Amino acid sequence: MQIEKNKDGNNLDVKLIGRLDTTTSPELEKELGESLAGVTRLVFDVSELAYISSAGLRVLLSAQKTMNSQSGSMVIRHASDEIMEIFEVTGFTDILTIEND
Amino acid sequence: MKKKTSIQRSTVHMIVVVSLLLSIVFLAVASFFFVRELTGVYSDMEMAVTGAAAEAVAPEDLRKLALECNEIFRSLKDPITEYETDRETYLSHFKGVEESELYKEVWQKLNEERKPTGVTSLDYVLLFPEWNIGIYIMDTSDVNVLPCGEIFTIQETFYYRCMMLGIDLSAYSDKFRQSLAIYGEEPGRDFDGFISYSTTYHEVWTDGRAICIDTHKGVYGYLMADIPINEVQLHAIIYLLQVAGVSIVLTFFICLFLGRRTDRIIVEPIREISSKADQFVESYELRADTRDETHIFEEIHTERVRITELYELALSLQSMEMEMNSYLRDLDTMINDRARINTELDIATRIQTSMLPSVFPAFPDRQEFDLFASIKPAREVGGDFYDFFLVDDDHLAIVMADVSGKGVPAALFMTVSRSMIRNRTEHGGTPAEILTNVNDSLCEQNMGDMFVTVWLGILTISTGEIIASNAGHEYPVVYGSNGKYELIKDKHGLACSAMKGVRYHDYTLTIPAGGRLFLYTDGVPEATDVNECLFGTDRMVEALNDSEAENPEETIEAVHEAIVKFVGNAEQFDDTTMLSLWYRGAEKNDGGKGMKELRVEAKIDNLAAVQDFVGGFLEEMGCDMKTQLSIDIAVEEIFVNIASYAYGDAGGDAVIKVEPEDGGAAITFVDTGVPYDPLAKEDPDITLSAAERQIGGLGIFMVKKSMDDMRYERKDDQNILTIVKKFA
Repeated sequence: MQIEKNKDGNNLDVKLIGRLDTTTSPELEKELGESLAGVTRLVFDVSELAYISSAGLRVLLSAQKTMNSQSGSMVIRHASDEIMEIFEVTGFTDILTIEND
Repeated sequence: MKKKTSIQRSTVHMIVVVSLLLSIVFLAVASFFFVRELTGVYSDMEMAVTGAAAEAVAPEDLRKLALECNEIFRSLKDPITEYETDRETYLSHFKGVEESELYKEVWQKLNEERKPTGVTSLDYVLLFPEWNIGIYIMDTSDVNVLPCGEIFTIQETFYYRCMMLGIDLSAYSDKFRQSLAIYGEEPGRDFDGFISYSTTYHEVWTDGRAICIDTHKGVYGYLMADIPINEVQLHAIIYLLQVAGVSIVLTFFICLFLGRRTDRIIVEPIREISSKADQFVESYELRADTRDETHIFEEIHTERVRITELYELALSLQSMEMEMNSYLRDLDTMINDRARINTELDIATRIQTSMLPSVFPAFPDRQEFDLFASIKPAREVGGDFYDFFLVDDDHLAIVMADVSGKGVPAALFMTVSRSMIRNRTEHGGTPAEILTNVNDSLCEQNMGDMFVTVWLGILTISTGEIIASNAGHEYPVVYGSNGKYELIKDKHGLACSAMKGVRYHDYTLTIPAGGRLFLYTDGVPEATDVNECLFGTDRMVEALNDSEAENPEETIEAVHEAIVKFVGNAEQFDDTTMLSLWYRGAEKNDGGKGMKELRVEAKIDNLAAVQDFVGGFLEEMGCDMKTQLSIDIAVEEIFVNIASYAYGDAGGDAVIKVEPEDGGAAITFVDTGVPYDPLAKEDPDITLSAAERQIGGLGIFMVKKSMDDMRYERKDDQNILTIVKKFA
């Protein structure tokens, strides 16, 4: 799991590469906990995310809740078919803003 | 340093000095007695001459001559002064008597008596004690015949002159004095042995025989015989010279004889012995190299040595040489023995090491585990050993042991212990039972109070479970599901062969798939650096955790490197023996049906191993990527669930079985944790907004949604959950 963060003022771009599973989710959770304060726009680039399990979904959900609470927005970008299917199955497509080209 | 003299020379010196001293004493004593005898002989001879003369001549003739001369002398007014002033006139008074026929006849007779003897002069004298003088009536002698009337003095100085001549006449002094006294007080008696003085012969030995004594008329006529003292002296000197000459010659010959004898009896053997000793010393260096025997002292002809002390010396040297030879022989044997023992020890080490399984990989056809072991013996043959062998298809026995002591006995005891453990293990039973039996057998044989610490474990290959028992051995190290090596402080029993009847206890270790076991002997923690510091188990575990080993061999290499680095230049005293087992987990093939099984500890750390296991199986089956991903996620959700909730804090295993089913795969999860049916759980409401959505329950929901079938069963206290997914 690789996390590439890019902060530009109140904008935070996070690129997730690899597998977001039970063992790697705590790492992302920790990173976000440190960086989300004051962020009004959070963008996840998941184009190179190969795998996400419920643990990863929980982190994304938690991030969405944080952004909601600080009146910011969160966007998921470039989700692959496989990832999209998971989002769909779990109803995450309804609660996350997903922008695909 | 004092000058050294040979025995021969000093002996001769001593003999010469002693014999000269003895000669002088002997000569002195002998000459004393000789002179005494000699003068006695002279006295006797003189008395015999005078006696004979007195008989040869008619007494009245002698008397007549004495009276005539006495009358003439006494008729003179002052005869002594006249003699001193005008000797011719004085003597002319006696011419008448001297020229008478009687005088000449008597003279002839006396002279005839004298001649055949050694007496120089036979005189007929008259003594006049009142004047301390005497006159010659006649003097028979060969030369210097004194005329009639010639005066002579009686002098005491004769006596002293005798003394000055070196002839001790003190014994005669009394007699001399007596003789002198006779003149004055008791004239008329014979006298002998006094010294008088003659102008011709100087000191003479004189004896007198009273011939014509008339005290009333004052006539004292004596026949006196003289033998010159120098003749006596001459005899004595000749005698002494002869004796001295003889004794010198004798001394010379005695010295010569003794010298030769000393030379032959003492000096020669000593020289021989000493030259042999030199030879012996000279050959020392040569001998030290070749260790040849010597026969140097043996050559001494002891039968010729007649001096006890030298004979004993020679014998001692010979026996010393013999001892030396036998010592050299022993030394030779000893050195050979030592070399042989060293070689044998080397061979023993090689045999010992070669008896241990040393071909790796030891079980190339077993994918479930990999193991490696190494033994690095210290200076001598040690008692460490390891062993591993398959008891049956599903059980691997692992032994790590250390025999007390070093050298050949330890190696032998090790061989016995090893085969005993192996044989007993192959008969079945738990490690505790095996060790209990082995201990009793070893104790019965009572092998020289030796003992052996043993760690014996039997791994069930299909489950990763190890039943182990520890007889006084070091703690095992296990790399478990937490991804770290840890010392397992198991319960120790007593070392085997220490005491009969000891009961050992089993305990269980579970090695998860990807788990490892590390065993070692005390040589590892007790490796010592130059500061006498021990390597210790902490450093050992640290080295294990730090290592980036990718297989058991590299694991052992890493620990060994750490030891070498730690020890530095200090010598390694104990063997270091290590065994590393990497358990990959069992992938069971269920008799051709294509079923595979993995048993792991239910820990989140093992997730990757479980996913790899399932993923590998799916790939083999040709599963598509998308299906694989959803199964992958499902496996995670279920396994994480079991790992998180099934066992609480206690922990336990999970078994994952995969098998093909209906154009897809069926994956079954078995755990022995708390009963839990995930299907019974209500699905989360996915229509709720983000703020309302609950965190839990999502995983199982995802599984339900993505899998084609899902079955739960509670059976034999096990949760059995199966998911089925068809391939696209």
